[in-house]
Amino acid sequence: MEAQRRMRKASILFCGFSALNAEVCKNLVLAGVSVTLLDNETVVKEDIDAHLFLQAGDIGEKVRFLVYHLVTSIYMDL
Amino acid sequence: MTVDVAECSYKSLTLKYLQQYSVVCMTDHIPMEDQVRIDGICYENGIACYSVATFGFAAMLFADLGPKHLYMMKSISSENNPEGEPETVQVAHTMEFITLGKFLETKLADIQVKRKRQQVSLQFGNDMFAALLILNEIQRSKKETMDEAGIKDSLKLLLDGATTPINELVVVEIVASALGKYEISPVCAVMGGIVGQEIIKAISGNDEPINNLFCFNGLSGAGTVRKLNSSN
Repeated sequence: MEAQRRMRKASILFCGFSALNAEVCKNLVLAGVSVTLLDNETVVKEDIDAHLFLQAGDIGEKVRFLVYHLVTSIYMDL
Repeated sequence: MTVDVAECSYKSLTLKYLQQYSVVCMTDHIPMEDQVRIDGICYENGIACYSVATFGFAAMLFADLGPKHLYMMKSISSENNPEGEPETVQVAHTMEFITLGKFLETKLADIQVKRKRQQVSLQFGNDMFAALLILNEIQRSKKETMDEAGIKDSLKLLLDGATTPINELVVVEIVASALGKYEISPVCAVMGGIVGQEIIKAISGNDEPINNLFCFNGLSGAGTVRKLNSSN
């Protein structure tokens, strides 16, 4: 119980939002942990291939805004 | 539970901002010198800090949970409970971590594997660490690429005649994949699961965390944990 309480209280900062961080973020949101995404980059062609949240139409957009809506939609479904 | 976004230059991240968080998870999009600085702040202020990256088929995780990380672990006590079965008890342990800066100061020549039998399975850790050092050097010299001969030369320079077991070809492969900046989704998925679990271990304070380097080899599917330290 103590561990559960600590997990609810915790918040995590993701610096840079690569495909790997997207996976980690997804896993933690599903586990019920608060997350913050810090990313200044725009989507480029190389990002889309492996990235869980990005698609071909997203090139040129800010990563953090696209991902924000998608990550929020994961936990809305819970 | 909340999800948030923020925009901030990595150079201007201060203690005041980082204090709001219990864990910071950085990727290789952030220059190594900024990672070292952020990790230094986290180390002194009890914030767990992870540096994660995938380089083609290879992936790495560096964990820094501060100078004194407290965690609970189940163990079987020697005394039996009233029913005559061995009792499981929660035992508190502490673990000491080092900063990313100190970790990168580790000399390649000093990495020793004591038991011969372990050498093969642990060698990928050496290869990954060598690749990390070379990547760091490439970043510092503000170069964009490096050819195979260049990578081999810098590896020779780092080894400085030492006999640390290292597979030159693997190092070249990792560095080249890292410079190519492409990610492979299954490798990200596997590593994402491991990193997620590590972060949950860190914040819940349950079970032994990885100390301090974990490498995943996507080609063989094997993972290696190494504890590298510049002070020994």
